[in-house]
Order: sequence, then structure tokens, then C-alpha cells
Amino acid sequence: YQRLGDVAFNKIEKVSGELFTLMYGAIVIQVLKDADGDAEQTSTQLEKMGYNIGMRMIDEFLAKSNVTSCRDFKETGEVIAKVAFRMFLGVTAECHHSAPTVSPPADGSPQASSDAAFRLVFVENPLSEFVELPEHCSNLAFSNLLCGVIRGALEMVGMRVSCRLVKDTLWGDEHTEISVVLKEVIAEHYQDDED
Amino acid sequence: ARNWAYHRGSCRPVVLMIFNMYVFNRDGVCLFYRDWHRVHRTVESPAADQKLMFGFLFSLKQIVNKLTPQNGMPGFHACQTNKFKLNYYETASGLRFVLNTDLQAGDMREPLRHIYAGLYVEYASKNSLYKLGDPLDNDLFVQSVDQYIRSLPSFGS
Repeated sequence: YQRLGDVAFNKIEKVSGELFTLMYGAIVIQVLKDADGDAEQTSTQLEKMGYNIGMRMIDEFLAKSNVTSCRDFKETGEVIAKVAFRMFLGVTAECHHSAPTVSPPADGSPQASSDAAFRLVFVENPLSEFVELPEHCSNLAFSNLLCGVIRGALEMVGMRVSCRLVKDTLWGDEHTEISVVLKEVIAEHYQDDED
Repeated sequence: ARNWAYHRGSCRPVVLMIFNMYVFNRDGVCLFYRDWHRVHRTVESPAADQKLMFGFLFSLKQIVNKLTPQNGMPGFHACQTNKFKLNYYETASGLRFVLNTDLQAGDMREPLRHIYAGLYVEYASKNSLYKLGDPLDNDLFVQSVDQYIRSLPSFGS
């Protein structure tokens, strides 16, 4: 997947890293202002914004990365860490698995386990470069947009997940970590509304 | 001259043709429909026609998954009758692109992939004025699809 990530990264058009960081910072400040300085509300709002972005971004990702279907949730994590992160953020994350993987059933569809999960770990974060959190919003989940993006994108490919910023270098941790837990595999259904 | 092909064995000229195209999302909403050479139309409305198409695709996919003789996801990409070929491309995000062509048109997987990656992603996904699930009626998308289809060698005049 590393190679796929590099290929995708090389193909995609890029913007200046600093510009990206500054723009994101400006967005966070604006959302914080709109929320009257409430860090928790801001974190939630950032996640919601990310969710809408993720729902669109998935198509660009699928179209440009040429990844094929993942066999299990573990592979999903690897693809996000090595291909998606590289393609959109220019950095590679590590994917750590905390739960035993579930072997897929015979028909090939992914099966949800009550604790299928992975953690995305990364040190470099282009969203939060040059950023320091002031005391009055020291619990702000600055990069929560990423959690929303992951949640929105995965929902569009049939997985309902919960996504949380667990560690952040802005909080004094040694790296940034996002936990992704699979809640439900969304089965395809079609309602026929005429009898 | 380049729009004509000779049917194997006979001297009867056959015009290459792309008939029509549908785009559905995963909920069955028909986001886009365009026809170029469709002569036979169902008696009912376009809405009924689109619903029929989606129902057909959905059922076909379920059946193919159950009947496939080998392991793994089969991913059907075409089926044909003696009059036309239905070409199909489904993305992991549930978008379904259908292109009906005549039997000589050849493999439509690359054109379908281009319509997704080059046109849908550029003019719909990345378009903040386009709400996901709405009909794809913005000019850029409609015109570029039309232009692209007409530029294909399989498209008869």
C-alpha cells in the first residue's frame, strides 16, 4: 500500500503546505468564534464539517487511488493510513490494530465484530503545524475534522464507524492518534415502495 | 466511414451506437439519464423506466453473487441480449453507471471509469453547489458527458 500511496501522491495536484495549514487554522478560529469560545462545541462542529467532506472525498479517493475492495476492517485501516493519508495530507500514518481480526464469511462481504477497530498514529500533522492551543481551549480537538472525514468516507462505502481523536501532539502527547471503531456494516437494501 | 463496421461473415454494414446512460446512487435515486439513440421507450414514465433499471441491476447483482462458481466478489460489468449490451460500473461508494450500447461497441469499462473519475468526481463531488443525491443537472457535467460520449469511436452519428 505504501507504493500505491506514493503513486497517488505523485499524481494528485498539490497546494502549498503552509497555505493549507493557515487555511485550516483560520477555519478553526472562525468555528471557535461562532461557538463563543466553547471548545467542545467547536470540536463537534469540526467533526461534522469533516463528515460532509469525507462523503465527497471518498469518490475522489476511489477514482484516483485505484484501490480494490478491502477484505476486512484491518485492511481498511491500512489503506487509510498508507494511501489516503499520503494522498490527501502528504504524510503516512501507521495503523495499529487492537482487536483480533475477523475472518470474512464465504460470500466475501465484510463482517462486523463488536470490537473491530484500529488506531491511526502519526507524528507529522499538516493541519496543526505551528499551532499552539491556548489555555482556555486546551481540550480542543483541533484535528477533529480528520475524524469526521474518516467517518463520512467510510459510511459511503458501507461502514458505520465511530472515530475519535485520542491523542494529540497539541495536548502534549508524543504523537497524534485517531481511534476508529466499526459499529455496523451497512447492508445494501432496496425498498420497493409499490406493491 | 469510421462509424461503420462489418458484421462478421455477412456484408451487412452495422452502425456502432451508444444508446443511453443512467447514473444511480446507492439508494436507487437516478441522478442522471441521457439518451442518444433510443428508439424503443417503455410506455410508462422515465421515472418508471429508471426504477425498473435499478431494480434489475440490484437483483442481478444479488443473483450473480450467489451463483458465482468461484470465490470472491464477482463484480459484473456487462450483460447482453441479441440487440444491445448493458455495460455497468459500480463504485465502492455505491454509484452505478450504466451505458447501453450495441453489440459491436466493445469494452466500455474505461469510458465508464472516465465518466466517474474524470467527470463525476470533478463536476459533482468537488462542486460545493451540488448536493449529494440531487439530480446531476449542472451544465458542466451534462455537456462534458455528452461531448465525451460523442467523441467515442463507438458512437455512431
